[in-house]
Amino acid sequence: MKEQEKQREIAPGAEERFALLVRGLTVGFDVQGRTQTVLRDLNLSIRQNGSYGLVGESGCGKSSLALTIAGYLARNARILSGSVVAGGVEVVGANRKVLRRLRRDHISMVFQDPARSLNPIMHIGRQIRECFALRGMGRQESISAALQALEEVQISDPERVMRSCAYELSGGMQQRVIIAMALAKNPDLLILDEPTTALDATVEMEVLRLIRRLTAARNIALLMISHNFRIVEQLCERVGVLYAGSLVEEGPTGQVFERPGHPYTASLLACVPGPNIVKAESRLFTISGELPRLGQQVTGCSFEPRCPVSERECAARFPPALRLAQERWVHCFFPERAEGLGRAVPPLPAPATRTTSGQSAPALKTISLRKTFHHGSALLTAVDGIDLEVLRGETLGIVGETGSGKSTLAKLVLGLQRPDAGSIIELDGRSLAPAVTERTKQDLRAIGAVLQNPDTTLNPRHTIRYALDRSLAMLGTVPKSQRKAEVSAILSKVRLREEILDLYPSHLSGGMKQRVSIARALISHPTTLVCDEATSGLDVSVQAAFLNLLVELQSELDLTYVFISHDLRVVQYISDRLLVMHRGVAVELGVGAQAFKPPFHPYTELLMDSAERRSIESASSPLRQTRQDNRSSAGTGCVFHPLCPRKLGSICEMQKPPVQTLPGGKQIRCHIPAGELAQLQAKVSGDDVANSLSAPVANE
Amino acid sequence: MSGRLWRLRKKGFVIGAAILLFWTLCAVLGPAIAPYSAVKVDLDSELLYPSLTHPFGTDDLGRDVLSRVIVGARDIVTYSLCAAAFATFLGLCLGLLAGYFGRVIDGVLSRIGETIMSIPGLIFALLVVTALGHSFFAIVFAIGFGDAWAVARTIKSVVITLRYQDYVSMAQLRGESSLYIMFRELLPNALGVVLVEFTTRIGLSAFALASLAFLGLGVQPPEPAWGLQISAQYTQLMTGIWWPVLFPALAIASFVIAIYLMVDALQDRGVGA
Repeated sequence: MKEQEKQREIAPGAEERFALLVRGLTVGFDVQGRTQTVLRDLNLSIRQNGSYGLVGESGCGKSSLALTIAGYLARNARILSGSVVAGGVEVVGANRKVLRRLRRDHISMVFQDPARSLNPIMHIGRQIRECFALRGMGRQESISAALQALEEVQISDPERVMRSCAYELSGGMQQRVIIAMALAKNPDLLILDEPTTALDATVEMEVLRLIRRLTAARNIALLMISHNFRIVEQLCERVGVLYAGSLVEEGPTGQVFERPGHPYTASLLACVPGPNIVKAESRLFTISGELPRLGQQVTGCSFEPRCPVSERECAARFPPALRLAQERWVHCFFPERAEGLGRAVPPLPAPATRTTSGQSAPALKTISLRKTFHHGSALLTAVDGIDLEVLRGETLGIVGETGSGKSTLAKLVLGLQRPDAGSIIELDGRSLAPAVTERTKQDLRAIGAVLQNPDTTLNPRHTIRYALDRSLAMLGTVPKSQRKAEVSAILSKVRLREEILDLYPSHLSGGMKQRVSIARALISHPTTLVCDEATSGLDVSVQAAFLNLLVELQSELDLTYVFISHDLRVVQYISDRLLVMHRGVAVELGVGAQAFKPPFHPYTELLMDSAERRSIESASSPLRQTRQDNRSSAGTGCVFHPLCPRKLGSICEMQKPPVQTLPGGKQIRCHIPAGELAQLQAKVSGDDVANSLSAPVANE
Repeated sequence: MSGRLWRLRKKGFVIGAAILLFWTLCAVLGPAIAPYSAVKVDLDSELLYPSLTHPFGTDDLGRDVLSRVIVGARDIVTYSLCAAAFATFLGLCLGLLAGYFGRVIDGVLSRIGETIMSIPGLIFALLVVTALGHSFFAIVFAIGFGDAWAVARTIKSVVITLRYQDYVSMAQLRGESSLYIMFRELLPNALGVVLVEFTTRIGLSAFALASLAFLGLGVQPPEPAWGLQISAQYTQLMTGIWWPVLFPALAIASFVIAIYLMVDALQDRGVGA
């Protein structure tokens, strides 16, 4: 009955008004002779010039849906039932010619990695012109159209870009070029598959702003696939939540995110670290269990096994669509239970945090740590004289964008790269040798590492047992006879079952692999753990569980963390100290809660602004300057001056800014007095001005 | 469509493996299954046309061509397997060294390799055999040594992509030796390429061996090596006596094609891609 109601609102015969109309779509993949369903009975519609966000974790079928719509499904995929009408064209069962026309005239797609979407050996100009040539334009006509298209995506020097190859452009520029190409044909529907995931936060904002402006101006409907709710919230009117191939909830974006009707939506939203959540106060909300495996038979609600508020009824049959409001459905028997889920299940109180600051000796200390790379005769300073101190049991968070030198810093500390002469790294009071091959067993034991990519950090040809055993044999302190017990103990510490020991990494999920990585890092009983983008490859629910684990282990084992991430929220949650890097320079070093309150270095301000993303169009922010693709050398002055929205003038270009030390211990490297920064930033954010504002500022 | 193609490829593998198995059986059983002696001269029945008693005919010394082809498999199978194994192992070590250490070591090894590979393989083998004689080891070395550098180059390119994987960093961080990292961390991940290289080299070695034999170097008479048979009999082609040449030539062709059918199937399955 509810289904009928739904059908009525998307009245048949009204295809013309919809840029996309998907009805009863079921798609499966033939794997080893069996058909495994990846999309189940999907219904969704996007009006002309409407915008629709599709959220869900990896493996939910988001990308499969996008590929189905464009007729790009893999050869072993089969559309089992349903229909997809895009731009007035029926995609299901369409022949090659129809599909080509569909892609030429009606649908454009933008994928995650811009570098892979552009032909690396073809000039940008030719690639863009092709889009226009396909529409029957001549050479001169297509050149001027291409120039105009590039101007529309705010590329300042289109002629130069036309003559460039993809590798000569930054990621943000590449994605702009791709958007220009996608919009060249004035499509009915623009499909964006994680378009900004590979971009830095500040660039991401600008690309999103651009997408919104252009699609609105040209009446282009938008289907946005993302794991990032904040982006969807900004860009889309409507949102659908996909879980295990089923659309479990759909409705206007604001309503869904404010009052989620499905327990899965509520749980996902609760997993994301909030703006003011820190480890000292609360744990993160997590979803227990795992996504059903591909091809697993699901009779009832697919989320039932993981749902905290489910009943027996849920396992018996898939809940029909329940209408909550105008154009708002949820596939759940108990939508009223979902709303309070994030809030009603109170975050667990964290174990008593230690208040050691000041007394304990620094666990990790670097003095004028520097790394210069030589490219022929050119010099590139990746890390430029970093002095820092992390106390025992503390977390140092390091943030910065691509190329800021944060990963190089991690490699220097680990000894994977040799710092320039004169750099000093001290661990627990001992000076560390510059390269890992020269370090003593004791030093190797003392420092553990969890690296970014769960897929490559474990050797795919070694079983988990071998990986752990080998680490124990190399760095462990227990005799051979006790190794087995030690491996079991470490596994239980990271909440993994022993059955996984004889598996290869490819059999484990991303979250499990990162747990094995921690287990391996902990096996030598280190005092310090370096986590380089350790959560970047994980879904939010997995990330939340991973961060909780890190926090528990820290208080249990008194570990010191160096936690590198581009995600400011995650860093804020876990860090006691915050190092902000830009082009190898520490522009800001904050301590405790003070680190996340103004005054900020203008660069930190920019990062905070992007992370909060109150509104991508926010006019109140004075930082909304179009960022040029400026890679020119910063010269002798401040490293941030070419991009700085608060630049004072030539002093920023000519003179190295002083380090200002605030009363709480925060250090800012800027020409603008900290008091002034605090005032400026308080006005923007409306936050309370830091107390330290009026206090005298010591200039170094 | 891909399904049909896949089946075809799989069929290729089965056919290749069947031919290879046949020649391996001939190599092992040789004289036991051959209808006549491969070396016994019988001047009464020289140059007989293929018939029921001599399906492949006889050569100018009255030896049964079929028997000589069957028994001759032993040389080509053992020599080419050993030469390929030698080339792959040496190339693997060189490739791991050059790929893992890079810089100076890679530079030196690459220059040496380029120098050796700039000499045509057969001429290089000729020089070695002339210098070292016709012993088994000399021939295996002559064929395998030149190939090793080509193998090294392929392995190196794979190792370079693998050595920046995080698991190599993790191994360094627990204090592993370079030798361990090369053979226990990197090698297992390059095994597919090694397998494809090895199989490819068997085919190439078989060719090289036949060529050497044809030139009178390498395996010596009266051994019934295929290449040797062709070189001893080819002058008679002009007088219309084709069978002592055609059948050994077909044998060489079938052996090499069998190898490449298998390589193709392996690569199609993504091994060593």
